Amino acid sequence: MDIILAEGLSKVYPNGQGLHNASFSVSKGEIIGIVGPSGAGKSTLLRLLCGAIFPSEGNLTILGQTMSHLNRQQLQTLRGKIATVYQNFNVIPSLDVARNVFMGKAGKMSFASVVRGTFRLTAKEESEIEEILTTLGIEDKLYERCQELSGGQQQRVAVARAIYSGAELILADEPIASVDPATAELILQLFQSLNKQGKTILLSLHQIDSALKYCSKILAFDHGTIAFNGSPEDYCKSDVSKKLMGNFPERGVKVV
Amino acid sequence: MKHEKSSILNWVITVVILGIVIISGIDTNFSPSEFLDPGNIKAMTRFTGGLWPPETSPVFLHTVFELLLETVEISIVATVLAIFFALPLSLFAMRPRGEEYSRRVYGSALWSWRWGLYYLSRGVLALLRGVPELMWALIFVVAVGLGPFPGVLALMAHGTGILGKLYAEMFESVDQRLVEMSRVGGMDDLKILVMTRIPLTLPVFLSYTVFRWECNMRSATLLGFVGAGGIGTQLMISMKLFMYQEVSTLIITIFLLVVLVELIGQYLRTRVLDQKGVPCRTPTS
Repeated sequence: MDIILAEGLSKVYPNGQGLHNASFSVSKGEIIGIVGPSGAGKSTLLRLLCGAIFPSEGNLTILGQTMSHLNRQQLQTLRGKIATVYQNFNVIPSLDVARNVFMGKAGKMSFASVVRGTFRLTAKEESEIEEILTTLGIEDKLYERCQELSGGQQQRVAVARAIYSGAELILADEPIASVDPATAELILQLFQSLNKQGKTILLSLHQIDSALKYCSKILAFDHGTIAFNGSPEDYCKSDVSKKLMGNFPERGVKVV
Repeated sequence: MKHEKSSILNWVITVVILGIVIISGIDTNFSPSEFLDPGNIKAMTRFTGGLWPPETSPVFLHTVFELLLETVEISIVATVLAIFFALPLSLFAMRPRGEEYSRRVYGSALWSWRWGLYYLSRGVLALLRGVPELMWALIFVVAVGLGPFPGVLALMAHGTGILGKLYAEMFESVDQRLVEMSRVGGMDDLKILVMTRIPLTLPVFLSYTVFRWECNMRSATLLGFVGAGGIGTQLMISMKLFMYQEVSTLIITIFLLVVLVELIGQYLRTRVLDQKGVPCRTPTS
């Protein structure tokens, strides 16, 4: 079954940038690396997929739901099944780590439980959150405010929230662009193990070598269109990789 | 070309504003020489001379203390009521942002309701704060009679208008990317309020509210002028009876009170900004 099916998907911003006529599909259990230079449409695509913005043209079906047919309630339900990790602005700085992770499930809870959770977590919630934080190596920060954490630690909190939410589809928009190499490696490995547990993951990356190492499929964008869609091996051989590299030599990415 | 045009326009605007200032000054009889008029100087010396020494008879001080207490109480009750009414109004007065606020996603009925409530609450807030406190006090004195109660209502009405707008704007000004992050996690507007907007704005929220209390405190000292309770009542009476020594005591007390309130406000605000009082690091069970 296709988790994501996009047909002629377009989202054009007033300045002409955006995404043009993209068609692709994602099956369950894939881990897809979205690559391409800045402004190529990677973020636009991911924001479309999580329902933050809506397509101006084309069809987008996610988990069997057609985006352009959903009402508010259905949209919220669908969003609850998708977890999103951004590059920045992932955590509420004034809340502690536990509450930020707790937010992952807030969409599915009653309003009363959410209010209760902001004041007091149940023992079960606390131990679940702590367990996830342990795999990310920040269990000692459970009740620390996120603004007191480093960028890399904040990003781990965001990943922890994605895991806690139990979402079957995880979207990550440059999750490792602003973290140290060790954290980047940790996050990517975690995504990989989540993928092995059956979760479908889309992540946009500037680090082509990481994408080739961790992803089962590469989706390359250039100027708002899909320039390549296929396996990492084919991507290395393709002209697209050379072209995209050639345009941005200063980034110093190397193809393995 | 464009640059030329705008700089000419700037000159025109400058000249117009200057003209308005000068005409307004003439129309309001602005003349510093009034201070040097012998008759006025005499009246002023009589007034300032009469201020000293301040009245300190125990009976009067007791009256002042009771009125002072009433003033503080008016401001406290009015502020709490204003928060209570301003919060829900501010939720509706928040401009819906983001692409999902489309007619299609929301459905026509809900969408119309949302925007209808938006304009309604904005209108109500504008009306509440557009009418000055003293005018509200006059209205409520007519409605519920003399005493501190109309004063409470007056400060509440005006305060609701101001706090409601401030809250709405504060909640709106939260980083939109964090709101989007919460929204794509499946949270609805109320949950976003609790887990995103309030945590992000809590210091500002408390700071605005404390500041509003300070303003209410100052306004409460004047309410007595129109018979709506507080220390202003006595100030009015003493002034009318030319009891300048009493006036002197009253002015000093009001000044001390305002300074005290300012100090308390400052303490509360720094405490909030240091986030000592924010419930967040509560360990569980």
